[in-house]
Amino acid sequence: MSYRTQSGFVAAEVANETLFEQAIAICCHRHGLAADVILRRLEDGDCVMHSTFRYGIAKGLSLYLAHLGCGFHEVYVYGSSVNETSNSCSDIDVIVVVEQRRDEIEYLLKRLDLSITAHYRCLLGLKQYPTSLLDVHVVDKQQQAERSGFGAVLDGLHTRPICLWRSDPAYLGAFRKEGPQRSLHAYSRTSTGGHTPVPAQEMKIGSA
Amino acid sequence: MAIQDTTRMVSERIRDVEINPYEMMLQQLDMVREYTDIPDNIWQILRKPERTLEVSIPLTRDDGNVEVLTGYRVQYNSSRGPCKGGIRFHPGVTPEEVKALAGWMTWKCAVVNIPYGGGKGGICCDPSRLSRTELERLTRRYTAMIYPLIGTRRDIPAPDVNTNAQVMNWIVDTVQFLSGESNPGIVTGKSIEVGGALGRHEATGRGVMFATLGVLQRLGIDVEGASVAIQGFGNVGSIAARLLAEEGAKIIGISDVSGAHHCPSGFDMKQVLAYVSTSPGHLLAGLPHPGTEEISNDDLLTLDVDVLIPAALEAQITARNAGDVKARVIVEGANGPTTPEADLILGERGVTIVPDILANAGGVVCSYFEWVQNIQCFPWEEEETNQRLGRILQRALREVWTLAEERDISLRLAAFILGVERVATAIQLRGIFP
Repeated sequence: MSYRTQSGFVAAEVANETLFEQAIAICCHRHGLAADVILRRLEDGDCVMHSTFRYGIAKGLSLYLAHLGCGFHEVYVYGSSVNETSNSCSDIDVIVVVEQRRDEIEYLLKRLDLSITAHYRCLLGLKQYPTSLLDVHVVDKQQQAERSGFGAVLDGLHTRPICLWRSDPAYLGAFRKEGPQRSLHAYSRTSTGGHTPVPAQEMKIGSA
Repeated sequence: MAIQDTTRMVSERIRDVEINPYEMMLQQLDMVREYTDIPDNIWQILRKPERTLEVSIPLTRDDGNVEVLTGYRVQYNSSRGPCKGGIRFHPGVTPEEVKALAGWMTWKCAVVNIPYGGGKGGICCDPSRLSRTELERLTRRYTAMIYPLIGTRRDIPAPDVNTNAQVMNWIVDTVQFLSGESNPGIVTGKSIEVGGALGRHEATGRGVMFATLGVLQRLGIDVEGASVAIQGFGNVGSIAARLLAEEGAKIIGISDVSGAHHCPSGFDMKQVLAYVSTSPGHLLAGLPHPGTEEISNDDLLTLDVDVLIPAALEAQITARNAGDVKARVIVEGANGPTTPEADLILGERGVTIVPDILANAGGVVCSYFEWVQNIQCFPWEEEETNQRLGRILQRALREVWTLAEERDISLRLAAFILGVERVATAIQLRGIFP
């Protein structure tokens, strides 16, 4: 897919193929299954697989935003993508922490959603739904400090989001080597195989 | 399963995905919603086109075979006046694209505050495969099929992708024979001899010049000696270059499909224009200009200039090169030259972007002038067209700029808000029939 259209409407540049490949790779690592099996399970509506796949997309998205390097500080995922209750139409709840809210950020996130959603539907042969795969909330540093708006969710006791990426390298060092810690459900809940999330540096997103 | 197999599997599944342009337009509209207090009822109206017509057009080919093509005409919103929008002939024309573009015309006409709604039309065809006589038959039959919708006070088509003044002339002629009346105001973009406006050919490039002058003034940059790079040297880019040079700007970078040229001391635009008027394909290739070096198109976009005018294709300034752009101002002469990622990166770096919806609106404003002249049966001198064009675009830029400052938002969003709010206000004031 080209993001250039003759209509003058320009899509986001994100390389959806890479995004999906890496999300499938995360599923393969975590569940110890082959890619074709993963895709079949996604088509069959396997909740655990859909959650892992969504976690992988959120991870890819976080690295894509990091690669742009424009005032993004942190990216979190929460909700069904991390508690293994996703289905084929579930959205991916993401919180993006930025230095300052700007309309260009929201515009980009909406364009990313449109692109990723269209490709996701095509990947799984879904005709109409979901209309929006990403439910992204932008939180500025002030909201985060004051715990207002979705800044409050970042400190929620029961739905504490998982940090997928943070601009501060020191913070990244706090993660376990193989990936971020989960707050609620341990990876061991998955029935097939162990979990080995792909380290951040292996994700290659952004080559449009 | 090897990673190559995964790649192949994913690629095969998503290879042909096209993002729905109508969804893209609606998404931008929904974003405006977060910045305005337009009532829900009005939003329901804004999100849908008023009228969509799909027509089947039997075309008798020169060899006698008949091919049935599909055409569309969409009237998105007429609250502010008759619908206005071009007709395109292209294999990629879809109803969703036509709806999106009709919506886009609605906001565009409203931003520059001309009394038009928005419309668009098109035929899904490959005009490069059609002879001139086939193209004429296709145009005339399509005109007859959409005739119930179009009209000087209803819906006024214009040229767009792969259509030109000749196609508009055929439409005028067809309508005259269907109605029995002379009605040149049924379309704009006609030949001068058929009722076209003087200055129409230059209008989009002239509009880019006005937008550039306006933004330079607001940023406190003297146009005299301001350095400018222009990507694309067609109808828009070459005219903007000439007019800006006449205003004292120094055009130091120009490009077209044949390559890019850099002249640090500034091009002599008269010399350049004289060259391309006779060069093969009217291209810049082989430009004999002293003190000039050939550079790549990528290098042109990252020249150290005050103003960069992308006037060629979509998506030229991307995440890949936005960080290297050194211009203080970008004036979008083309449609969609900046990707959302680049928009963000440039905004972060403090680059001022005059959005396409405003910067290249000179064409539709001059179309409005052509229509006014047609319905008054009173042609203007070119000078009058140019002066009025300047006044309208400078006012529009001032209003967009003020809104952007008041709300601390980008010019792109401000322009969109201004356009959508004007349409919403018109709907509210008129009320809903019955």
